[in-house]
Amino acid sequence: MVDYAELREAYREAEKAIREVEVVAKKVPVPALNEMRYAGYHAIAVNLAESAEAREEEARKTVAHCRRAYFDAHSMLLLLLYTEVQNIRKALGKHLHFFPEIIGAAYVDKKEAVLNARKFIERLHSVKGDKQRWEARNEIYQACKPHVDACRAYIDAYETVREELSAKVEAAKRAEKHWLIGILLTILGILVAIAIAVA
Amino acid sequence: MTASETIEAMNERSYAEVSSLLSSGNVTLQSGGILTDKDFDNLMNEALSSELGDN
Repeated sequence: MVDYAELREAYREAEKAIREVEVVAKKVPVPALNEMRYAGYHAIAVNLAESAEAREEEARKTVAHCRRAYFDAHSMLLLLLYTEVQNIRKALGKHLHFFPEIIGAAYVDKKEAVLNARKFIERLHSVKGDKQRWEARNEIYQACKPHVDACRAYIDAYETVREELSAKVEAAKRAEKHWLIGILLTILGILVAIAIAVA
Repeated sequence: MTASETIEAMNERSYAEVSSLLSSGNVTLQSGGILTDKDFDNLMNEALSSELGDN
């Protein structure tokens, strides 16, 4: 017997995942949309099939394509958010240490979760290179979700303290500049003293 | 509010707020481009090309 509630839920989840990519990237993820096209084809075939077995098979294929679409959208979302995490870290550069200093102990878990996300991306790379495992990604369609959430949590934490962080970075840059000017003036003073002594 | 204005407004929000808005089902979006399988591979290669670092 066809579980129409399962079909509807699989479609709803996939469609929501695709919209999340649209919000973050302002672009639609084509691989996920292609899976939804196939899902639509099989969803229609559920009602046109002549036997109960055929209807169930079409329903199974519909759910599988929706879940592949969900996986494709979420894996794209993960890569987009992870790239944003990398960009934040690159932008802070040597001043990155201010971030954990501001948010405190919570930073350790967020950093660990992002490191796990990177390890997952390595596994994702391996799965994508294996045709058989990639075709079966509907069986692990929610695998990206915790890592998507981890990257979001890191970015949200950054956005929450961005102003304070920027102020600290600017202050540190000013202090570095003053230190450099001080060193240069000291060297100049020594050179002038030597010049006077020699003269 | 038009779709593009909605996207602009959502850019100003945190991801938690965006998730909440999406969950409400009241947002219809209009996209400005596409992300292909090649983009996916490029993002993946870029993600794997550098370590996160110590901090």
